[in-house]
Amino acid sequence: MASFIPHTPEETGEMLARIGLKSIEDLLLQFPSTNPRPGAPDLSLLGEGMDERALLRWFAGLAEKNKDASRAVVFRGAGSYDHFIPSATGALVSRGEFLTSYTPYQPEASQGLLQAIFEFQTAISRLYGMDLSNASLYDGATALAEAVLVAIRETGRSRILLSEGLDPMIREVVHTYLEGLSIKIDLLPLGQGGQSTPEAFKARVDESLACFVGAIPTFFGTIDDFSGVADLLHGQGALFILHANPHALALLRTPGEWGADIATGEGQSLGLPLSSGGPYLGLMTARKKYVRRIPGRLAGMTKDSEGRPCFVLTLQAREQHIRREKANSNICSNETLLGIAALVNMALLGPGGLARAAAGSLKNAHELEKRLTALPGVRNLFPDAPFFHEFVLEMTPPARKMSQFLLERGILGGLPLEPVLGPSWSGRSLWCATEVRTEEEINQAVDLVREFLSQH
Amino acid sequence: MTQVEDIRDGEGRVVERPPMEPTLWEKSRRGTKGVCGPGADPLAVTKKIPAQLLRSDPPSLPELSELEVVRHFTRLSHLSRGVDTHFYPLGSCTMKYNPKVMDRIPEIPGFKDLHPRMDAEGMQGLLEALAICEESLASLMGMDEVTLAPAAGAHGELSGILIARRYFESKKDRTRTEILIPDSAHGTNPASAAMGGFSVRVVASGPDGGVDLDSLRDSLSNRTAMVMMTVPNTLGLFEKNLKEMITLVRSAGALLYMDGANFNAFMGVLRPGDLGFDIVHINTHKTLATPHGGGGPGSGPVGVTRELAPFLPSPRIVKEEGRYRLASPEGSIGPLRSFVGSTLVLLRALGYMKMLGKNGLRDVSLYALLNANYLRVLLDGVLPRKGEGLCAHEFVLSAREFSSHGLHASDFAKEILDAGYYAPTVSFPLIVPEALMVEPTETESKETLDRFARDFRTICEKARRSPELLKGAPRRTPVSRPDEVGAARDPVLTDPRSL
Repeated sequence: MASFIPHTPEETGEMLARIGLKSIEDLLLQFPSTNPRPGAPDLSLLGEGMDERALLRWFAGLAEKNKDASRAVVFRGAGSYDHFIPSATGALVSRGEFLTSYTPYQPEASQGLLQAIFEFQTAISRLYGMDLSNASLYDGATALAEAVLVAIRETGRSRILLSEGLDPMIREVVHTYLEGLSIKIDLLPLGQGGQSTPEAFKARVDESLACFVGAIPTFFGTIDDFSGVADLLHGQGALFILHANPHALALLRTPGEWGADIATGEGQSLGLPLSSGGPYLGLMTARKKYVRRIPGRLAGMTKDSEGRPCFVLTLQAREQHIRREKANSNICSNETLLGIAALVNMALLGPGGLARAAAGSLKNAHELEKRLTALPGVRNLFPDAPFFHEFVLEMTPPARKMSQFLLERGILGGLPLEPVLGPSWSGRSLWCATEVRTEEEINQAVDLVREFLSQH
Repeated sequence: MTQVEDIRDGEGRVVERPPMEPTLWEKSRRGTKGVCGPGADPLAVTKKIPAQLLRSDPPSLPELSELEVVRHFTRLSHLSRGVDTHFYPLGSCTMKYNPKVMDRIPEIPGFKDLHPRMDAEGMQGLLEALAICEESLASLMGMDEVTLAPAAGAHGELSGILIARRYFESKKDRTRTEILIPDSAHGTNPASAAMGGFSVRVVASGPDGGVDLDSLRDSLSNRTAMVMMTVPNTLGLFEKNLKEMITLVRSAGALLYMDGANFNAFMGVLRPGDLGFDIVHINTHKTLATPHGGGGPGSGPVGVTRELAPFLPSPRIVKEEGRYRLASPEGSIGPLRSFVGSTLVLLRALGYMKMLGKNGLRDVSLYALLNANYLRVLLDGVLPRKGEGLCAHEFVLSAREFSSHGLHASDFAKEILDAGYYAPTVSFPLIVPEALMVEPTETESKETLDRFARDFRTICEKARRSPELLKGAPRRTPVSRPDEVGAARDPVLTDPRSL
């Protein structure tokens, strides 16, 4: 079977002779002998191998059991969004010089990659309205966890405040990251209107706080108002962190405009496929004063020894390979290739195209909301809150049942919130419509929800 | 592809460099239309949102035509090197060929456009594939259970460390606050330990580069939670005393972690679980041939013993009555990232295991050992090597003798770039002064290794003869050496033209 080894038997023989060995198995003399540990699965499980055609057939057999976007129209978001991806993106990102290269530690042989990272940092910074961006982190959730760690280190304080508007899954990831560090995590509740209230802030912001984290838009789709929050936090010496969906930022007020110190986000919505959950793209942006505090690689512009403008990884003294246990983070591998994909998308669409796409999402979601809430017994949980491209629908029958009903009929409907938020959320689901949804698909979804309601 | 002869001719002369590419913002022309996708007129819809919640100006992003964008990124690709274009003997990184068939797996309809919050009924194929991936990895590692969650090797380390923390908490053992790490370890090990809230105690290596048994014995105590070992170590050497070390650590009541960054040396040959490790991570982007992507995405699955399995990160894939679902068990350390894992990377890794099978994977390691030892012998006497006898999948040379001529390992690396290769890893591991770490991988041919050895030899002769020439390298790349000090003193991290 294939193992991509180019040696002819003669070459293998010559090489062994040169090393002074008789058999290739002699290379294993350096290893000790062991006995199989009882219980662990046996190596024979790996099988005898297969050729390309058989391999692809085997995967196709598994793939067809999945209801992907070609089999169920996506009206679900909650952190992963079905967006338009230009065809040129895949073609460019799959070029071997990008795909099969390593981190550009040798800048002279990696200028193209470094320039792409530098351009990515620039585009993300401008989108977020922030001074700078790093080269990427694993995903939005870990980017936020890392941002919280920056705030804890920067302030030396051990209490943080997370908005209830953050995706509960992301809040859990922050919990996991802080597991060993004895940090108190408080929650800032959203008011009845789906936005934070000044009273809630006043009761929770004081000199013990390292940072507050808010969301743009919230997990529930509402657009929170952070007026006065930056001053309030800075007055107590705490950092202001915003976690924002970059797709929405083509239209919505940016973290920079709200006065955030650090802003993070999930870059999947910049035109990466849904990908069954990964790999995704962690975004981290910051104000200039935190440049030596943030984790992750940074590409900088400089001059070469002959005066030519060029690019290089910089401020590496923050990183694990130099600082070891004193590093800003343990991160090494990141998501560079996905960052390049996001950059290519942004370049292909341009600022106008991104704003049009965001407007398309907003328009479709508002149309969907209007149509669904016109059905008897259906209401928007936050009817008065401004929302972007998601909203919570409330009705009597369990949302899980509705999801199943719709999925059997080719629609991935709103996310049932009970498994995420508990039993009181049984009749609630989180709906999303992006710019790629058509009028016909919206009609179909509304008709099916109507049919479901008539039967339950 | 070698350019060695040309470089010799060009000694002292500046060779013409390929031109750089202007940035997207330099090329941008206001009003240029790019790709037209679905959307709506922003002015017509933003009235639904209060004005103070909208951004005041559109972002300063470049405006180009589709063809201009295609040419820009194609040009940038020409200014970079990958395994597809160059021999990449970058030690510790296992830059092997990434089989093209694996790129087709995510393109099969059913994976790439699958929503991660799909109801379990709609993702049975994915969960089955991932369950098979877990089991295959468990059999390779000799571990009982595997999590696919970690997004990279360092992320795997962090999960292993948090699992250790939970384990000792569950035993009400609160004294174990230290993690022992050899001085030859990757920087991620101590950084991960610190992130997990442990203090780090460094274990010295002996003169042969292996962990010093006495130093390990002295460092172990009832404060030791875990010992992290890289196998083979970062010198490409299998620890001679590994079994004694494992016994020592066990009797101190601590856990044993294996950093599997170097698993390409013994896949299908020797299993970490059989050796006695409790927690093991491997890097799919090294051992299992998933592309490095210029720094990522990677993935770092972690295997553990049955005793530690309850603490694995959530979600876990469980099978009940023939159906798969995702679960969050009570004892779990919790989620480490969004969703189940970097699935499109993991499917490639699974494809690689499936395609090669048990024997093919074993061959990979045998030939990785063969190539490294062959190249080691070819370079014998060129530069001194740290360690003796057979090496594993890589070896470390030292350019220390040239320090008196003002030459560093990095100068050799730059000259190697000019010879038409990517460079070995330099200045790591830290215990070897002026280190050059060479890892050829199994996918390189004898002819490539012969040519590289010849060119490397020539470079070392040149360094002895006229060291100043290496200082001027590289001469054939798009740029000469960047001013790194200037870049760090006043960092320019975004394009000034975008402001």
